[in-house]
Amino acid sequence: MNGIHDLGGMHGFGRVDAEPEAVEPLFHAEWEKPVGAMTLLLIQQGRWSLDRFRQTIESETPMEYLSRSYFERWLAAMETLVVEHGMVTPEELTTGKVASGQLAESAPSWSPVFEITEPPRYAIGDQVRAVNRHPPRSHPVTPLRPRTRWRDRRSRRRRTTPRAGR
Amino acid sequence: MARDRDENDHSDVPDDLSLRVKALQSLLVEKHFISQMQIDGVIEAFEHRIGPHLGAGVVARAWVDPEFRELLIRDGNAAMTVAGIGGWGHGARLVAVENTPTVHNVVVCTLCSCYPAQVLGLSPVWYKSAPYRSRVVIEPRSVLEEFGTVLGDDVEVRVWDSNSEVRYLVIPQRPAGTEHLAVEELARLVTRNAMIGVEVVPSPTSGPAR
Repeated sequence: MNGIHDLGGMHGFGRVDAEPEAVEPLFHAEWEKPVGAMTLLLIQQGRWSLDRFRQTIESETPMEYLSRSYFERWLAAMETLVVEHGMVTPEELTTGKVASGQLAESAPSWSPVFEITEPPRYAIGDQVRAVNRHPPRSHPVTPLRPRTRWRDRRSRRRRTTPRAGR
Repeated sequence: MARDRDENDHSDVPDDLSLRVKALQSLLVEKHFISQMQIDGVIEAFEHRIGPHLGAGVVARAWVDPEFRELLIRDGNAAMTVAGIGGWGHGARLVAVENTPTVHNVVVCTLCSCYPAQVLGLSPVWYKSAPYRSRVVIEPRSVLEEFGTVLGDDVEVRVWDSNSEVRYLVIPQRPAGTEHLAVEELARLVTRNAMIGVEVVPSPTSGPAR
């Protein structure tokens, strides 16, 4: 998926406006705390995988993606996923109240971890070439940058870590 | 525009965000998907238990213990087990990359925010920001300069792009003038930014870290 999240090598975003480490708060608003916690818990429970969560974020429009803060993206992705998984209805999200007849037995969880039995096709140290494959609705397997080979002329050499193709 | 409302600017966050979070949270709690106690437990861990102090301990130990350093570089996950650091990074491989007088490493996640949370806790806002993610892979030196880190032309810069399977931790160079320090004192010198690779650990005699 060629998406706005694939930022490596893009121009025009300006300086890195970093708060000094010593004075930087861990959270910048109270609401960020439960968003972080709920995101983690739902993935730990196996409601969806980390990859599915990321894919949901990456499916935002470029305008949404760039105008939302980090935890805002997490919140929006969770709102999408709880509805998709039938845990909450859109109406409930609007009202914040459990609709009658909607009280849950919680859905069975599943594990996103599975065993791979196929032997690996590549060994550590093998030279690989990144394949330019990026279907529009899938989680990206290769960032744009290794596909297009951007370079910093000021660096003598740059290492990138190719993602394994799937 | 993104610059008018970038990720460091949280002053104009609309109130409706708090309301949306409250709605989602109370629905998930009322429907027994998550308990309030679980939410509070994770927040407590974010705020008090995980954080860069863990990574700093690992780095300081690598500085004083050659066997541990060798293990950390060879098999980061095994070194975490030895250091008693668990959870959080489950499923991901931790790769430690060591700075030397001629090689400087810096870590990014161009696609999102992959980060060695297991040893560094929550990532800073700038790490997840568009300027850092877009630029550090094509002009690492000018990005480092914005952090006050100026490297000589004889130093090779290696940029490591993290992903959901592999997380990188930079082992900064041990500063001069620290030969007499104990491992706990060394750990206090190691900043989070140095373990991401945007800064170096300053010598304790050259003034406090920022």
